Amino acid sequence: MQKVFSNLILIFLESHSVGFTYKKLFKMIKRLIPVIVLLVMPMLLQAQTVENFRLPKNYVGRLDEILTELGQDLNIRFIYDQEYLKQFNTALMTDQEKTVGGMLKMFVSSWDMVTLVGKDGYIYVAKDKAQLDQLQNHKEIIKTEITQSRKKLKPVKRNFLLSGEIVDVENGERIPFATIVIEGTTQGITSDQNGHFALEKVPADTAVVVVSYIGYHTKRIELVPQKENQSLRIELKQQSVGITEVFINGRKDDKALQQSTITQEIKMAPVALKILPNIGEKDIMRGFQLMPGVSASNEGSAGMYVRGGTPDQNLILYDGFTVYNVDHLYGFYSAFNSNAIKDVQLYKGGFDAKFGGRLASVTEITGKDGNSKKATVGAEVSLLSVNTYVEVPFGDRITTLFALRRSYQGYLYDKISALSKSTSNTSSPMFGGRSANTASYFYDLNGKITFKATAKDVYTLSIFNGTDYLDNTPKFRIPGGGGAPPGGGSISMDNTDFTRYGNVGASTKWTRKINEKLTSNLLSSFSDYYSTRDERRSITINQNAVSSIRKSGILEDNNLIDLSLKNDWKYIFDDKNIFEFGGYGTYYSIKYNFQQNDTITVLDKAIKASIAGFYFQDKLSFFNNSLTVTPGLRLNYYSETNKIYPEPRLNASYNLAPKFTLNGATGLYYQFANRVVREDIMSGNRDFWILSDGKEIPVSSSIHFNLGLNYDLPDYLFSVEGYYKRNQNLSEYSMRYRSIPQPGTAIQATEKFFTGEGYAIGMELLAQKKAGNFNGWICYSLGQVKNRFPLQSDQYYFANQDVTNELKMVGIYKWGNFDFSATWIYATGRPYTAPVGAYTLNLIDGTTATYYSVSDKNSYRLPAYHRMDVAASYRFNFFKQKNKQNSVSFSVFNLYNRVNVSSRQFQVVDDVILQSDISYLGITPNVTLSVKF
Amino acid sequence: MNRIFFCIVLGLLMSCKQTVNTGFQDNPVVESYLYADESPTVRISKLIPFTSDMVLSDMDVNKLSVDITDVTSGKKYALTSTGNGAYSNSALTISVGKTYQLSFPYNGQVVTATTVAPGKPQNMTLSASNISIAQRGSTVNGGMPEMPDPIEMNWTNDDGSFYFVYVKNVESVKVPIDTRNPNGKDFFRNQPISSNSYELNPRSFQFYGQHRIILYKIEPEYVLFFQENSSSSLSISEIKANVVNGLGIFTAVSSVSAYLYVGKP
Repeated sequence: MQKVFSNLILIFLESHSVGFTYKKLFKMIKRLIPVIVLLVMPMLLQAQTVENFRLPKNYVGRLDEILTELGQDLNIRFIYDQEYLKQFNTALMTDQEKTVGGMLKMFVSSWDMVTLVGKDGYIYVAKDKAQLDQLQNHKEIIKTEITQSRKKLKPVKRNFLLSGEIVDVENGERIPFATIVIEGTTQGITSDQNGHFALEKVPADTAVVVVSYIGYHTKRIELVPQKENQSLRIELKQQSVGITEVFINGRKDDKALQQSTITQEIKMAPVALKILPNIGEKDIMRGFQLMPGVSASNEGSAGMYVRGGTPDQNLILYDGFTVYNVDHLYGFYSAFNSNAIKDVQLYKGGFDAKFGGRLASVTEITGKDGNSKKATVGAEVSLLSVNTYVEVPFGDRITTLFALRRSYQGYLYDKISALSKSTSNTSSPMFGGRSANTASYFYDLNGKITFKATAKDVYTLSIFNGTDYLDNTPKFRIPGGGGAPPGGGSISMDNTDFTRYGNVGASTKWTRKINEKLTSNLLSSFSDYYSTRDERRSITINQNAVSSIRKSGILEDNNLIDLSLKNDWKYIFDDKNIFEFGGYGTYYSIKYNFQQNDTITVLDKAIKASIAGFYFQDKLSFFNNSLTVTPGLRLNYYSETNKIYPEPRLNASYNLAPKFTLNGATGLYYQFANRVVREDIMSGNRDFWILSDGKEIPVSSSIHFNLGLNYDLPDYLFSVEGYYKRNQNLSEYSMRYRSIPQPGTAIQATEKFFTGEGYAIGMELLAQKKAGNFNGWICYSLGQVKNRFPLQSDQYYFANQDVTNELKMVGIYKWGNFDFSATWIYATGRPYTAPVGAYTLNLIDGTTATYYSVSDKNSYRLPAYHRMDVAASYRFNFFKQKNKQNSVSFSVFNLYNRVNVSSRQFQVVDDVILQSDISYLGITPNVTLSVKF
Repeated sequence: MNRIFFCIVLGLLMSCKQTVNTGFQDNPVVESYLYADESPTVRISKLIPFTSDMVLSDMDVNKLSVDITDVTSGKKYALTSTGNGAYSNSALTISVGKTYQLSFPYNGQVVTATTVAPGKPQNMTLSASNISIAQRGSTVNGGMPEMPDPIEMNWTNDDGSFYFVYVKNVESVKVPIDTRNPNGKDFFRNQPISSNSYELNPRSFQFYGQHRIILYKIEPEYVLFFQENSSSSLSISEIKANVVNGLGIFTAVSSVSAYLYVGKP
């Protein structure tokens, strides 16, 4: 085309006998023409073409809907403020406006709008120049609640109380812990667990409120001046459901995990977890393990090692009740179904006075209420489990949700099961040459009913049950003919080998908003942890009307019941003074029984005790909200020791400079229910919950000191945090004698609890890119955890969970309807004890046995742990669905098949000590299909 | 920029290498069981080192100055080497109720161990002197055979001393009770108990014929060696018995025995 054009000019010049100079000039221009044309033509063409596009038909209706439809018809892109445009009802006619350009002219002439056909190909429609700039910056449809020009507005009220609730626009789900800030000020507040908020001393009712929550689009709301105080209902939209819109929505807050800058806390949006790699299940606990301060190198525990703490030192609250077991399938998966969970908060340390009973950290999980707008059914199938959920609203006031997940014995289950068996050193049970058939599974069930009785009263009933059933019982029958004992009679055999463990819990909660400033939560809860391990063999012989039963093997049974009543109150004086207080009582009944050969009870403990107390905390802000201080006190009375345990707490944050926040926390923490590890050499270590008795098992305590500095930019977050924890009265249990026993103490019946102390110190660095199609984070933790149990060692030694260096990288890339993610984890190997030498003794009975001389406890390190996981997921619709989120995701765990060592085995062969490694999971691909109707 | 970042990461990873304090020391291993009315024998050996960097001293286990002191009388008896790390002295006879101390210098330290010679178990009785068990094997098709009642063992134990029971088939020709298992163990024992009775389970017998039932009275330090011995880094540990500056066991034992005949019905 350029050639034709230039030749025409050449002919024209020659025909008009233009002189030499022109020709020379023209030759220069001729060379430049292709470049110029290339640069200018697209703009010219597009600008010209789009405006000249003819309207394909007549459009009548709301202007925002017309533009959406027209955009689809002509395959062009409009950028506008939806809330503003939807005020206009109009008609666009093929014989009047005729073209897109004509339509834009009409907008300008009729409604004083500002329009622009951008060089980027978008067509901007704005109410004024300022909004045009805003749209050009965002390049997305925005939704701003419009009344009239802000400049013309005069406030009716000043320094007033603004309250309301924050809900999900799609399903009406109340959103807890969302942030509400008055634009241009430091004034802000967080919604409570029920999605309510009340913000005192809002400067004027013409202010702009910015509401944000992880995993949702941030919303900007311009308040409407009016005399009466009206409760606001703010609807937020999930990030990932915007795919049917004309334009790709902003990605600003589209991240699964977010670190708070004012407290040492991590928030998680389970809805965004699906984009991260997984081993069959998107898992909230595994998600947290990607953040700084939560160790990621222990594949065999879904429980969290937070800042050198052990999983039992992490309080897990699910809709208010305590969950004591979080492991599914030997700890590879957590017992929490992320489809039933709305929000998770992890307090890494220095937590508030309203939480207590644990030494290290708190994980607060809020279950989904269920869709209040329509019935929804969803299902997920992965290579591990089937997961379904149903959400049904009844009228306007009742919402329900039920979710069920059950594993099936497929490739993933068997792979992990086999791996875990090898690590625990058990061999598959055999009987009479027949190998055992196994039937094992896990399931979990979540249910929640929410009844919004009045505008002020909400009642919820939440239930949870997660259970694992591992059955290795051999299936056999007595062969015909030989089944009866000589002399008549009958024989029956019962060989069992099963382990069943889990947790069932329920809570009822009555939330009453007494007035805009005062709210109350009354919660009653029940939690039952159970763990039974039955590896007994029994033979029943009926002969001559006499029945005899012979039993052998072990039976281990642990049961914990927690009945609690809590009443929490929150009074908001203003945004500078929020007072919270409450009382609670817990009744515990814990039983632990361990029997060998049906007759010898090795350990039998049954403790019933109560803990009661109250707390208060006051969040005070100073210097224009630059400094926030939250002093608090929690007082516990523990019936077993008949003592009062005061726990003073202090939290503070200070804005050093714009975007720089310093935070710190300290406090004293007590733990009354402990999970104690029982060393089991033959079948792998087991643990059990037991209550402190103040004697053998003292009440453990911890003091925390935390300090953090955050630099928070709109698109990036940089943070450094440090901590020091001093732990006292830690307990361990061993059935083995560590020293020469006293006469009269039978070896099987020995109760050997050890008491020790320890400390944890460390720092965490985080650099996070929060925005853009490519986002993610890098975090590094440096830590040390040391314990000292005087009966075992006089010296401090590295605790089993000690990890010196841990580096984690997470990258997420969005491309259209695809999400790609990759994670890489590096961690120093965990400490272990190795033999330094071995020796063989001839024993009295004529046998020989090998014994080891060992290194100082935990003075060796396993090889470094590292692995990379990757995932790709694709979102799609079925049958022209709208706003339905279906996805198929493919992920690969341990992409480069790193052989990570979990423990080591030693063996003496021909006077040489041989070492072999027990390893974690190798490369494991998985596919998950997730559909919603 | 990338290079700098890489260097920082690498530096962080490299900077924190732990120095391993293995705690290795060349301690001798002692094995000695003292029986009443017998002369003592002590066997001394060296550890098998785990890695080549754990260097043993050049101490010769056959050239040590080993002696046993009768603590009660204060008399010291020097033991002489009989080769392979073994030492003995026939001039010393172990007496019930006396305390004995082993002592020898090794690698700059004095290795010591003390034990008390226990009296013989008293009043041991068996509820039966013979039992009958039907032979089983391929002809029985795996059905469960009839078993006699367990044999009750009783003895006097007023002070909570530790005992264990050791049963051995003493026949020269072994006739298996289960013909499918002709190579089973011809002995069995239990874990130490501090009670005054024990039930012998007829299922534990693998062969027909005469069995010697030995009831051992042991000292507390020997109990440790009966415990399950871990070979996993998750739970490996060292037995710290009564040998100071060394490993192994120096303990006194006493026993009584009885016989039980296992026959066919």
